[in-house]
Amino acid sequence: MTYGGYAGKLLRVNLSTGVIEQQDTQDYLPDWYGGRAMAARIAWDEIPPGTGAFDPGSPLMILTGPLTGTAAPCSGRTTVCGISSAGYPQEWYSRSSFGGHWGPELKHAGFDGIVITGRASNPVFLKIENRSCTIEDAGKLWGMGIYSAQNMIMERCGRDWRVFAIGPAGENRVRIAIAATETESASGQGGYGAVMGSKNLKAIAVHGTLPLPVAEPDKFLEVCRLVRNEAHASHGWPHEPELDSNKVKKYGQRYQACTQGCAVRCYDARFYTTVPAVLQKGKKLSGQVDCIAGLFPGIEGSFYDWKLGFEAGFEIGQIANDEGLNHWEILVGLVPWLRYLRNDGVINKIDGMKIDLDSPGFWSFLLRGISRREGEFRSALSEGTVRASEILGIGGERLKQLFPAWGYAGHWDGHGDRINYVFFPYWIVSALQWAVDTRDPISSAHGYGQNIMGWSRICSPEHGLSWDRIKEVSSRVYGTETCADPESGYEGKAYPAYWHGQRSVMKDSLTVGDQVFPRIYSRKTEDNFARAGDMDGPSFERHMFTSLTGIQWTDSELNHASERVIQLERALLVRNFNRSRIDDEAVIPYFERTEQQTNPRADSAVGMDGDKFRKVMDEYYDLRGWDRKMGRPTLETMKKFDLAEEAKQLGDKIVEKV
Amino acid sequence: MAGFTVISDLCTGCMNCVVVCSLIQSGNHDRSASVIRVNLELFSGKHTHVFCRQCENPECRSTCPEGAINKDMQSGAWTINYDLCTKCGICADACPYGAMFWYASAPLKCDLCGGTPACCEACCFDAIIPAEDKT
Repeated sequence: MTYGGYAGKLLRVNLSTGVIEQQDTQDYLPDWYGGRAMAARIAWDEIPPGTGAFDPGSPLMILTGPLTGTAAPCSGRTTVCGISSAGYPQEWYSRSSFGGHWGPELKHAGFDGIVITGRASNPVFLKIENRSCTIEDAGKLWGMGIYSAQNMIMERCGRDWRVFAIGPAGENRVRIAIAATETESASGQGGYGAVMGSKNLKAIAVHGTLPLPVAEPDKFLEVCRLVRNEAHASHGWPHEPELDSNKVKKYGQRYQACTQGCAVRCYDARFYTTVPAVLQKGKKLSGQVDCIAGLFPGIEGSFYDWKLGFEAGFEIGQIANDEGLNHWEILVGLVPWLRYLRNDGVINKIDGMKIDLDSPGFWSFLLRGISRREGEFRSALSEGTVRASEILGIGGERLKQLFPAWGYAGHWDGHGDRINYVFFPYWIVSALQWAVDTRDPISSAHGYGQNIMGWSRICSPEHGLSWDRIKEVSSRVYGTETCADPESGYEGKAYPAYWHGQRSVMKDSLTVGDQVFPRIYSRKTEDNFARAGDMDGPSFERHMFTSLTGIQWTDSELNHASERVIQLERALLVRNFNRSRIDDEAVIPYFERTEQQTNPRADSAVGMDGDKFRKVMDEYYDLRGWDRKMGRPTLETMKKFDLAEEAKQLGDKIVEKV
Repeated sequence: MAGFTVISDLCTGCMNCVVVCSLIQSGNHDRSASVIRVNLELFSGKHTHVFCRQCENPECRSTCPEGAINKDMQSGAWTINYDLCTKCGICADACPYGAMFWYASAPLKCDLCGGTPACCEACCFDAIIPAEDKT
């Protein structure tokens, strides 16, 4: 059966041999229904134990989902999977994703995704158009920034081509290197830019005019219309923020979709058309500022109180994009760590330059040096902050205040990340999400902490909901009011982590935007539970999926398919990396430190109680069907998810049942 | 005046209008069937748009040798009578806005979805508005 929504083919490119093949997407359907789900299957089948991020045989998977590029709101995203170069303590299987318009263009070019193996003998880029792909020389592109590389390819191929590229950081295998499209849509975390660089792959250019089928056009159109009309603001923003009138006038600030299909006025995404450059005197810069990039200027009175100011901050953010460096690592991890070291008197210069975070020149020196591996200190930082600390033999204790685990800086964790406001007990769910992942888990899991904090009247005094209403609405999703109760402590924290785990897979597989889905809270219904037509908010994705593809799954079946992905990913981590509960518990010491924000209903700020958290972990493992001792899927669980054959490869690493 | 207009400065480049239109016109996501097009300028943010203005005295109508383009009194849109259309393509050449498209070997233009343009509703940023609202 041919399903709607899919382009129909996967492109497989071996850069060592130059062999280009096309595989039917149908081979993986419907079970491994797109993006992250499909990647998990391919990874299990094709990544043997011992494969490193930079091994030529290590596949880099860039995959869309059935909803990508369709009328589904916020559906322009693309998922990147493979062995991550950023992973710590080891390079291991992980994922990332990016927005923009590249994924939809790939599908119109006839492909649901690309699996790239091998290493080209010289720099190349892929040119993909309407079911054809050629490997092109990228000698003239090598060394260019991401913006210049995109523009050069677009000048050559056409302005309506979309290009996913790496900058000098990726070329130099910097472990915090991004691959990106447009001015701000990056596969930011995971270090997949370095993986592309290791393959001598500078860019992937796509263009297409092929149609994408729809199983039930009228129904799909109507479902999407209803969902689009219901969606409002991003997670945790009960109201739609307005533009800054001063910046509109001075810098041409405007809304710009961070990905195709955007349907919301979110807090984050803004485009600027005319920002005077500070370092590149006389130039006017344009580009997008999304998410954490808004922190580059610094925020007075906050932990991030450097004083670059908007114009220099904008320019430095653009430099980081162009060089191909991960904004999150720089702003929430690396720079705060450097500042700690300076304030502690450990260092005051790096590679001969005084650490001055108020100076645009210092930031430029720092970032360009990292992406080009210049100087001893910045070369060390090219390995990511955590590895740099080991290489340089400094800052280990400070590191523990900023990096929860896996080599990633804090994110909605209540400790290291101080830009996002979350207090106990909500960061317990974040801690659990961190514990069982291989990366910062929040990028596709903002739905719990960010949603609850943002919908509360603490963060949204005018538009937020009462705690009673938040508990009531959330109980429709989590089954009990305890899960969102500000006074619930450790109780009811395993289930939200479990539930949002599946939703994370769903978003990265379908694909839809994390900041909007799943829809839970709403200001457009009497009871504040998101709803449109006869659809409940949390079922929106399933309704779009079924009417588009014709795969008539229920909520429960889509959920099961998504959880199956988590089971296979965990099995892969067990088989290839010997992952166990011992690794998961590595996050505990970080969270045992005192939180940054205090629950207004508590007497004082608290840290994690490790023993109580271990019991939450037990609950989580029970929900997943993993044994409590090792934190691994049991044979019984593997069978339940139709993974009995795969379980044979795990041998005595797993137990029969709980 | 019938029809809609696009305020380019408000366009976010989300492409919802194009995608929804293509779905209505072709029953699938075939962008070449869309009768509204957005030329994304992703580095400057200055997107441009191609769409039918539903002109008062349209060139497409006046140049059509078969008299196949006439006003739908209910919607106010100029529509193509395919029973009369010989697919000569003169209308497409005549449109000063490039908004008479060519799809499935025939001309295709905006018919305002019979009166309620889906692109207007699909635009979440009020960049596509009824022509009479533009002041």
